[in-house]
Amino acid sequence: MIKHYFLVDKNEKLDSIIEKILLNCHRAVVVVEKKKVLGLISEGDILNSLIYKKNFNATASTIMNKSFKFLEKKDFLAAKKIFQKHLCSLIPVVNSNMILKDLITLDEFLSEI
Amino acid sequence: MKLLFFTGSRGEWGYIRPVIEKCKKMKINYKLCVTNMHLLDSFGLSIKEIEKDGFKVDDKIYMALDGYNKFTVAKSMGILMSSLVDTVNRINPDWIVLAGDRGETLIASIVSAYTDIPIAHIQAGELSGVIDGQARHAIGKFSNLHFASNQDASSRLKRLGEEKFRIKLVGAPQLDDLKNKKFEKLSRLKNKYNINFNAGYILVIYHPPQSRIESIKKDLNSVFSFLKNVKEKKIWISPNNDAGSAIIKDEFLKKRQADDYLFDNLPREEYLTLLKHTKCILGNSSSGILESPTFRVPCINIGNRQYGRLRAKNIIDIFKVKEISLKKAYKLSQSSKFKRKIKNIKNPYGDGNSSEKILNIILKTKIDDKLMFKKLTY
Repeated sequence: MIKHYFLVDKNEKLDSIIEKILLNCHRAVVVVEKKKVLGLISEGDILNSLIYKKNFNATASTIMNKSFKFLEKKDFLAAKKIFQKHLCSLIPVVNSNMILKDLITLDEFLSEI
Repeated sequence: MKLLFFTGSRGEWGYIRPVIEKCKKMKINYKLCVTNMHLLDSFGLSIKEIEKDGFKVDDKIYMALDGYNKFTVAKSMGILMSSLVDTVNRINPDWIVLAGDRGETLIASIVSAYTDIPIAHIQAGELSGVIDGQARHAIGKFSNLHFASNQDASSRLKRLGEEKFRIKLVGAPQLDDLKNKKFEKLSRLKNKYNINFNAGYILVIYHPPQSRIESIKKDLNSVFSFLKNVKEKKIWISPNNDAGSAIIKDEFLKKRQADDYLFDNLPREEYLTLLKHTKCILGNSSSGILESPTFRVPCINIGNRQYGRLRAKNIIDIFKVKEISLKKAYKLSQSSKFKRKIKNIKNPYGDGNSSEKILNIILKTKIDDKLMFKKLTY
């Protein structure tokens, strides 16, 4: 079961997104609509949005990264490559229709190796 | 001599960039005004790429109103018009260099003409579908020099009543990039973006066709149904911000599968690498018409956005977008017969030496009454 503070709705506002990131301690959240993954928002995306848009009322769909990294299996070897290369902290695991099945967090990955 | 370049979109930047690069080499004083899509985070913020590539941006004009429907797009052009006048007044260029057929380019041509600055128009005289074709011809009426990329466009300009001395056949400058650039290795992109290209991929670029916004959902439905049954990965590039772009983005997010990858913007070298190695480019982008022939990759061109443009033999046109026609077109594009047919094709849009020709012509052209007062022969 994926904890609620890893997920945000596409219309969720910036303050609520930041709150969830603070709760999950993984510097990112996944944007979903009916379990379909639409994007990922990292702390970097939030900073980017504040610098360029200067908009504190931005919603998830306007600041999310749609070219996010994801996996189709909970494969820690593949996850290692992504963590190393992209220094991200959260990888969604999806099925072929982009439905969210699981998450791999950096924390979980480090405790696996 | 001071040239002012103007750019508002990714595609048209492809025309202008090689000319400015040449300006740098030839030590020509240039200024650059950047607007529209380049300044929008939701469309890839391509100004970052422009600056990263070492081009100094002299002016940024924020013009795009949110909504991306016909009314906000038209109103946005009004915003550009009032702001660009101040830019032109401040920079006071000898020439304004414009490219292509977009709405913001049309506005720039009006501002230039009414402020008595001569206009050099790159990619003049061509046909394009929807409203872009009308905009291109209108820009032509305000322009003082027309740089045509092919014989067909050059002849059309004459037929449109433009005086012969204004029409210069120089080819398309964006092909200079294809000739002179060192491309990225596909393996590097595979690592960078974590996409396995081993089984091949299809490049998809679908821009909103202005006169057929109502059909976007239906067309995309057919495209997604077709792509769902194709084993290759699909690399999507975000559309430009014309009316209807929000619908495309929404539909993509609703329908995407795990083998659909989306990029709001890509550095030009990376985009060209992907184009060079793709199994096929699908959509309605001018890149399919103009650039794909150089790499001899099949292009499935859908709808009427590129209607009437000169075509190489690698283009397969589908006017009514249906899953079955896409299936047939893709099968044809991958057949050995078709691959043999396009193996040695020449790009009808030039040989990749246009930038220098354009700049030499501008430098040699005297700004006098003959240039400035246009005889309207029709």
